Amino acid sequence: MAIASWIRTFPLVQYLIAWAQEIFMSVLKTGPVPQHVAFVMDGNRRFARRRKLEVREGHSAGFESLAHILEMCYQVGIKVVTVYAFSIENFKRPTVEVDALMEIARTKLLQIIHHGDLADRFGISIRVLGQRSMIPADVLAAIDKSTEMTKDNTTAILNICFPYTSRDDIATSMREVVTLSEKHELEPETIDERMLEQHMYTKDCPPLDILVRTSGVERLSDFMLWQSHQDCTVEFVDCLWPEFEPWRFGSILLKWSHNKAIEFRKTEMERDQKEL
Amino acid sequence: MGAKRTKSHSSLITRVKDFLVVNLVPLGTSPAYKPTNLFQLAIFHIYHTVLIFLHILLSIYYLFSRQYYIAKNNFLAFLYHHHRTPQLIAQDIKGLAKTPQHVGIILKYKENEEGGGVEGLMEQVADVASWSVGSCVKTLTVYERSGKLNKMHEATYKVINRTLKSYYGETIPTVKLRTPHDKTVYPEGMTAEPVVVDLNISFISHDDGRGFLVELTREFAYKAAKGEFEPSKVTVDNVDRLANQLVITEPDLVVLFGPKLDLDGFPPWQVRLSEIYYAPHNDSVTYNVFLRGIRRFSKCKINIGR
Repeated sequence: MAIASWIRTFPLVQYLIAWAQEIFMSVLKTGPVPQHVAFVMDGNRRFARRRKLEVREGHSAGFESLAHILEMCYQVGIKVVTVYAFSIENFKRPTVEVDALMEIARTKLLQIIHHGDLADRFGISIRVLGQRSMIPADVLAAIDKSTEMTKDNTTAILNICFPYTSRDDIATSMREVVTLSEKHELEPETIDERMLEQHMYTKDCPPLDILVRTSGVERLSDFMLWQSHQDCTVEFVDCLWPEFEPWRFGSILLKWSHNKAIEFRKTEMERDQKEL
Repeated sequence: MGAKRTKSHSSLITRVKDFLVVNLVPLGTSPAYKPTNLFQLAIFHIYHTVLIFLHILLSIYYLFSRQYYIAKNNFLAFLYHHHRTPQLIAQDIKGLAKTPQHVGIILKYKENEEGGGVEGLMEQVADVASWSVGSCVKTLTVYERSGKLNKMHEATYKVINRTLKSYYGETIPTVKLRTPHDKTVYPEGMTAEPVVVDLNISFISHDDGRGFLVELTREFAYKAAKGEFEPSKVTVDNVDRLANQLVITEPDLVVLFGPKLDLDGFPPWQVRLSEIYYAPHNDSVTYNVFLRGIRRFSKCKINIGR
């Protein structure tokens, strides 16, 4: 809608929108708030194709959208945000695109740790999850630098899954546990779900509360399979990632908070009944 | 004297404050936002009122949207009724680009409702089996969290055959049941010769999800502790092969017959690329939901990574 985006260029409107967003986040904070949210950032290439842009610019627009969403998440007090930046299967894409993605990753990682940018404002500790051996050296350097510089931040955590597939995660965790058994550092009888979880890439993170996938695809595509298969709200959103507006995410949060409040109400009533 | 009075005065205020904060702050409030003094408490309650108001608005919206979806489901159920004729089912899937080979369904055990209990589950399985045969689905995986049907092969087989007879008359398609967890197959004679059946049905439960992966890790760990197993052999491909052999292969489509998207513990490893379909606010196992799932599958584009 051309008129809406024209009105949005007025400075006062921007300020009002930002203020309204903050108020909404404060309102949400007085109720249940998820602790761990995951995003599958799908639809950048389709976005670029629709607007007749280059694929690289689609990915850039995707990053802008990510920055907005991260801001919202940390404003509302979500502790851990996990984003699916790159899949191990994505290496099959044309080299030009893979190189462009690596370049974006490198520059943006170094950008968000600057003084005053995202990592500083919200006290984010950045972690990159995935198979390190598949990343080229310069991106690896940027990753190490950003992880190193933010490791003392304790307020929130940003997990960037790069490159990651859930099956690889589970298999790596299993392999580590088996290696520890081989060295007799743990007893095979003690192996249970918790132990496997403690060896996955998301080891210190609270259980996943919401998983959001954009672009209308209704699959999990090898992301967070272990974490999302029970007690997790999976939301499939029918718009492309660069068009994933803050109000959509706000409505998802409101819905989740409503459902959780109903659950708490039920447990309260059951507890009161038991006391009777 | 003055100091003691102010001390008891301030402790009263702190006690009132603590009382208010503990009792008036609802369960589930984000701990970062718990108010610590009276002013924050007032602001908190203003915001909380707004939140409750928004929740009420949401409930009203759900009231209407629920009615809409239930009406839509009923209408589609009426429009796409199978009438127990396989020809209608074949007609419904005729124009589709592709149909799934392996479909998974998630059923909920309902204890005290009409059409519930174990017999209800068997009826549901029989219905879905008939539709699957009609839509050229080769493998059906039935997931029920507690695994009530895992040991009831004989009774389920009878119910399935009875339902198939009502669809196909005397020459019914052949069905084979198995429960991977107990390694049982029904009818037993089938394991001897590799007979090609029309439909393979597997019954899985919550233990076949994470529990299977834990079991596998434990097996590997025992062998490794004895020195008979190389940990580097635990690769994605090996685990995949074992998961496919010992539990189920990957379903192309998973149909949920519940009101919301809740995977309820369906095996995580196998659901990697499965299209997940559910009809909002739907509560029963009906043909139109199954058909819509197949239609959704036929429209989706799968590019693994590219």
